[in-house]
Amino acid sequence: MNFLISNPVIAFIVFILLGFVVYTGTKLFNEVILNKALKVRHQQMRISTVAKGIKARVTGLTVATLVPMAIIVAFVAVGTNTAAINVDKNLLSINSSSDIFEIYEDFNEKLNARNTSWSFRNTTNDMANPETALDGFDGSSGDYDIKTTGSGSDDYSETNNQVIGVDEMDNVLTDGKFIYTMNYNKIQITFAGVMVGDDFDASQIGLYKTFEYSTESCTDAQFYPQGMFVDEDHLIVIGNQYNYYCGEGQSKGDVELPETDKSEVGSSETGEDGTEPIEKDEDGLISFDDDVYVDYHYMGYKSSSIKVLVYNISEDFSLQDEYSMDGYFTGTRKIGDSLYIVTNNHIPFYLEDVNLDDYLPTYEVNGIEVDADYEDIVYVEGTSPNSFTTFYGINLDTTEVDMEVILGDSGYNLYVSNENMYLVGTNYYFWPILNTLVDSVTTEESTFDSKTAILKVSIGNAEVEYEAFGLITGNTLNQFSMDEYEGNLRITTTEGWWGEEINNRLYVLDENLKVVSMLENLGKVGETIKSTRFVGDYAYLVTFEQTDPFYVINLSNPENPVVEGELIIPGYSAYLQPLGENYILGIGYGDNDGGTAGLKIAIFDVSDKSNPVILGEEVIFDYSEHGWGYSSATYNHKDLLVSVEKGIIALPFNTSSYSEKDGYSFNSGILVYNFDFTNGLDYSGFVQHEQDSVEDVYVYKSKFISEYFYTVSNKYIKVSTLLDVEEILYSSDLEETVYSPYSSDLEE
Amino acid sequence: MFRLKVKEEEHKRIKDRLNLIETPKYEYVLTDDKDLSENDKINIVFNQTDISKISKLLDIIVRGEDTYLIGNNEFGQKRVECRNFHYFIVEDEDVYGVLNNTKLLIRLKLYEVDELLKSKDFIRVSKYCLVNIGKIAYIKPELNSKLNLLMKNENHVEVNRGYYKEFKKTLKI
Repeated sequence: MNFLISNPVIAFIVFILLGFVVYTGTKLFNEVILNKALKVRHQQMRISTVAKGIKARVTGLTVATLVPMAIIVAFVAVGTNTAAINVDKNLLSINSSSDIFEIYEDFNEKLNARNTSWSFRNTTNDMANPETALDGFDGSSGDYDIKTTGSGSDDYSETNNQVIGVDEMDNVLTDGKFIYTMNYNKIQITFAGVMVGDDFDASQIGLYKTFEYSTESCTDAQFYPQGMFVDEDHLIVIGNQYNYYCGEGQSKGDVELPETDKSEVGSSETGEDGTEPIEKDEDGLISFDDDVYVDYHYMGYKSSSIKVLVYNISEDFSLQDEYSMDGYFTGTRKIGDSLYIVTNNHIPFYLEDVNLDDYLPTYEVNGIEVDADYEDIVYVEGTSPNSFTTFYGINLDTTEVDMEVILGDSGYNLYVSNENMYLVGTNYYFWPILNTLVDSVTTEESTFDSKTAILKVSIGNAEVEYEAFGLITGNTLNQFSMDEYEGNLRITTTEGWWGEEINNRLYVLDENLKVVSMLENLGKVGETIKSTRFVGDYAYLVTFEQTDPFYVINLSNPENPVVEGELIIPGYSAYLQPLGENYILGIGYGDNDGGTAGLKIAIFDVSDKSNPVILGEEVIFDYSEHGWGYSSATYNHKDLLVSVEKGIIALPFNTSSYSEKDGYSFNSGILVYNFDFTNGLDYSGFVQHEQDSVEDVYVYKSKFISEYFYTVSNKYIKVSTLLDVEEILYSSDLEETVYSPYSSDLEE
Repeated sequence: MFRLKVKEEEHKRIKDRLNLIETPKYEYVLTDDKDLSENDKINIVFNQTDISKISKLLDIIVRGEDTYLIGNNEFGQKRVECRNFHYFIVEDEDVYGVLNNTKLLIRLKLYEVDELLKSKDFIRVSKYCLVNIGKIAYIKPELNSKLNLLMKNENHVEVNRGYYKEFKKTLKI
């Protein structure tokens, strides 16, 4: 019926045909009955009746009835198939933009029935505007006279990935010969050294190449790298490209907004994914802070796309392929030659006469554009149809691109195993049809609780395909809240915010994302999950309010998970990483009279699962009363360098201290510990690039190549050895970059 | 009208040979066993060797007496047994009896013909037309509750809406 409502012409034809069928059917029925009665009457009258052509007439009438009926059945079958729920995957497929409007209106109708107002957030971006082509990706903007002949080392640190074999994007990489750094609008390639005989020679370190992308021009699209992958053949740069609304040289004045944005007069809003707030006055003009904006005024972007630049390392970093996907970046992974990217395209239903064709996900491969077809879009019935979430699989070898477009709430937390991608978000609204997917909801009414929605998309050989959708209670913390093991997804969530309302759960979901088992009320009253790590049959979980219960959960029987061990210590670990099978590294915060402060590094010995113990720990409060100290490794695992083979743990640590005499001083460096499974942690050193600097020289990454230890800041790459990390042997300057207030940071 | 009372295994065969239609209400009992005859009915006890004669007898019983009508056409006056008429129709206030190839001007009013042929399986299908049920070849339902009757002479006659129910009733539908 919905299909017919949305296709009035077909509905009209079906209606006419249906009328015809009813007419001919009735006529045929009457005719047969009447003539049968006539025949009987004739027999009673002892008259032999030989009606000529009666068979032909009945056949004709039957055909006249059945043919339109067959046409109607065909119409209905096609219509029903297109809108029918695929029971296996709970999907509604889509054939045209009107299907999407219908889904949207149906969804809102249900919301209104619950007296709930719901509107889409207005944003300044207008995807309908065509992008300005961006030139200049090919070839570096800076080449340096460095001899790079020779091969690099095979012994170097890779990105600290969650899943072995699933590469995560990062801002500093090495391939054993070069170090790739990302700095605002630049990718800089520093020659790290080559093998000379059996030894690695790091003495010739120097900046080799710089790719500078954005031109600070209002006429060109602006490209900002967000991260990189590197393998034996390719350097892959992924970034956002924006077309800005901007005006020039009007720092003391106001810049007029395009017409479409004047509706938001007097408002201040934040665009999606990092757009800065825009202040508008009564005339629809944007006000600027005089001393910040000197030459250009970027007033939010009108379109955004994600670019993937593939450079060929063997051909001196020549640009090999260029991919572009419109929308906003959600996440990416690389497995072998397959690059997977997830994007999000918001659908502005609030606009009058919105043409969905303009918002359909599109991608380009070396300038050839491909649009998604409506038939390719899948919709999980019951989810809010507010955006397109697109999963791309890019074969870097053949440049083939596969896409799977899903209409629904976008997610933000991406976990990728070697076989599947799981995109997790929060679903605020959903409908009874999904209740079968929800462990605790049995009501026939719509539900407004926030749930964690999980989209599962299978991957392999750069192909992507929707697999399943699931809903569970509570919110996930980060990508480490999830793990796929033997076909099951294990996932931890926290529900509630305060006191007894809080419920921490661990779910085991099957391959269709149906709940196999659940452990709940993990942790003590009021505690929330601070970190999770799954290692094979075990889950390690940290909850916290005032102390750190470290739980060991046995998942060897997925249907019956049990808490096997518990350890209570002050402070808590915000990140857990396995060190082999029997040890877990925890990075987090120390205890500060019941609160948290500083940095705490702990190694848990979990060889006896029922009795986890601390093998070694370090707590650092290295700052003054008015200062602060933190490590980005507590929230970004890729900033942590761990090598069990080399017995090294390195992570950035920053402090700021204040004295009346000198004011604030900033210290940033890489903290390095050696460890072994007998003695635990042993302080190795703190590598700084500038001491007590008045400006932020932020040392944020460390890598090793052979026995050399490389530390990276926004100004330098410095080289020491793993044996003596503090003694700087060599140093290479990185070109400084003027910080832009609009540099976006969309790291996952 | 008839009830056939013979051995069960012979019932269908004899019924077919007699071209007999049995009805729940009946006046005649046909049987080959006099013990099966019924007191309040007209009983025809026959020998199976006389089935063809019985069949002719049944024709006479069903036809009843012959009724003749006199009419004129361009070749003069004709006397025709009523069952040969396909239908009677009023044209320019004259009543015509339509035969297979010709029609006769009948010097009667249509209601008089109707009255005369009441027991002869004729039925009014409109104010102006009286149809011989035995001469209807095929019935086609039309829109608006009308019926189009194809007669055995290939003429078409329409059953008006007002006579539709009566027509169906006559056919026992």
